[in-house]
Amino acid sequence: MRIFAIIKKALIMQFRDFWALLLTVLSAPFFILIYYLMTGGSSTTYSVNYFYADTSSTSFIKDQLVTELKAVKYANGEAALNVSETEDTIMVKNLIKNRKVDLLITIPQGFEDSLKTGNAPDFQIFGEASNPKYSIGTIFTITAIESLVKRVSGNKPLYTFQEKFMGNSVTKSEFDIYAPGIFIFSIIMLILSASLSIIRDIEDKTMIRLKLTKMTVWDYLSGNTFVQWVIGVLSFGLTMWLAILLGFNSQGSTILILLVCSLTILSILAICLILVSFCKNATMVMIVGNFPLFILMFFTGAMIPLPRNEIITGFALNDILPPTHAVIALNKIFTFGAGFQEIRYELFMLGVLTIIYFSIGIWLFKRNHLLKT
Amino acid sequence: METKTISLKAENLCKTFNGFVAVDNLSIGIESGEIFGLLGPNGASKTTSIKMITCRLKPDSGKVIFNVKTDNGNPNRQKVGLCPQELVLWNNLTCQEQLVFIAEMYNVPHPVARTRAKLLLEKIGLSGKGKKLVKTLSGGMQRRMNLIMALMHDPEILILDEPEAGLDPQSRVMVRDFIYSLSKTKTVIFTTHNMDEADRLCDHIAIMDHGKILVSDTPENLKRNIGKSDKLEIFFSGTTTQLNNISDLADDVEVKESSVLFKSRAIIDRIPFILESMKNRGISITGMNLSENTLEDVFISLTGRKLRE
Repeated sequence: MRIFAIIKKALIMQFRDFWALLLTVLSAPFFILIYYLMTGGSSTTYSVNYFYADTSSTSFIKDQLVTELKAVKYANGEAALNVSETEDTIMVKNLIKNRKVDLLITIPQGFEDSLKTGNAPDFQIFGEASNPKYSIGTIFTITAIESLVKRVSGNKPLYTFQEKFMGNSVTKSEFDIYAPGIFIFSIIMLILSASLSIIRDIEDKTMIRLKLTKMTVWDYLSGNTFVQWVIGVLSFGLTMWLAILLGFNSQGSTILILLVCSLTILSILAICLILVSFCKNATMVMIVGNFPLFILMFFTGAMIPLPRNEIITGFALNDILPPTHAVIALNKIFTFGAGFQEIRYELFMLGVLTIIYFSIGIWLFKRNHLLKT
Repeated sequence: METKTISLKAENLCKTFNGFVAVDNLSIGIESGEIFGLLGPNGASKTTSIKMITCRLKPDSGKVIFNVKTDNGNPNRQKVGLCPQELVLWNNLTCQEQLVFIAEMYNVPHPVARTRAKLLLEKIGLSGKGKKLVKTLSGGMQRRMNLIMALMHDPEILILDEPEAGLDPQSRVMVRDFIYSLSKTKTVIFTTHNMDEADRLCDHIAIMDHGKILVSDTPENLKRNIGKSDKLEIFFSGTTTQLNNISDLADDVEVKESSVLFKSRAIIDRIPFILESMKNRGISITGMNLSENTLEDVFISLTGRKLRE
């Protein structure tokens, strides 16, 4: 009965704090919408400028080259390269510095002759190595040139490659690739609203009244956790619904997605409890809360893909952050249609980390707030 | 002889904070149905004592026993209602919602909680405010809400930490009457700085300072035995030569041009004797002014005039 009373009270207070609730629930769907508008929902294109320096060449070969470059396409038929010719290499190099162009390729003098004689021409490629689009753009460009050489010279290649794309990855747009991270971000966003809902009882000293009742830590935390879980599921559901509406494609089971989402919400709420244990009021939550918020956003792969540096075999530092496993599990479900067996390790890790964080959180919360109040 | 039930007994409570002795061997026994006032200057450790009595703070030594005759000394916090000094309310809940919520936290059934909330709101002058958010109430109304929040589980013992602080005179009278009405069914313990309030309400008063109980008695006994004397000034027409040996009538007698000032404890009991004596001396009395020893006099006499932090 006490749990129901706490749930009812937490729900009423959460709905009365309308703007905070709105911010929590609608942030991630809003990011999804913005991201969709930024990417246009299409695949990534790589901006390639070429400078045709072979003055002895016929326009036929040049046209063939452009045709080959434009023929590099994704499985959905969208072009991978945005090709432009340039005469002004200095200007293009400046555009590369500003990341408005991904690479510049110079087609050397004698290129057309080399197709007949078999001499190796000396192409020059300019680009910024730290720009992730440069490397992929270069591979696509080289593929196109090799295709032209093979076709025009009639020489058989020494080897051939066949790409076998796994899961539905071949059909994924840039929006599809990053949407799962934003789904997890919708859960991470709970960290502030959930912490604020708990800290109010400390800040307003209403915990004094609650402590005088027969309320247990279990009553208090399970009641509040349930309400925050509902908000988390609502935010996640809205984010995913909007993404699907905008063309996001998932291969996997909705129940598994919900399971991953639920466990992730619980783990985030456990982290909230640790955060609240070190805070005395809402202002402190808003300041100190940025620390776990940014760590969870940027070091779990939710917002940006991360390198995996294992400190011991099979274990990287960011494995201690529950959303890391959630991102991997969701990618497996969305891309490969993974079932329970394929994501059992991630579910296990999410479960274990949730229990560990909750244990620490409950201990700290009792020590710093319940026993001190 | 009637034996009264002890509702609450604190035995030898001690509390030290970083070497500072906040509460030093505090012992009090509060009878059932009594209004017990705990008075003391700022920093006297009244709130610390209340915290230990309500089990919000663990004493270093000593114990608190609730309702010793019925519970075999087992503390039962369900029987205690606390109105803390500070406002402890959920600002985003309506009056009705938070009254029902706190009652449900004590396992009071929902229909009972609703009825009780309505009744208490009415009694404390907040009927019609049940659906208002607490944050929209005035400071005085919030204070009154703070008080009835302690009563939703119908406790046997009600502890009020400065309940009249921040109230206007009208609200103070209402709260005073309300507390008095509770004393018929509950034991009430309250701390206050308002001596007049304590004098009017309390059956028993303990004055504490520096963590120690200095005295504990009924207000009448305290006023009778401690502090400055009562003063009786009698105005007369005639000459002072008629006032021979008048100093025998009181502890301290001061003869002025047209009046005599008698100072003595419990002088009210001696008024008939003094008047008779003056009449026998042929003195014509034209007026009289009686000024009794107050609880404030007792308080100042015990705790001194020095300001506290």
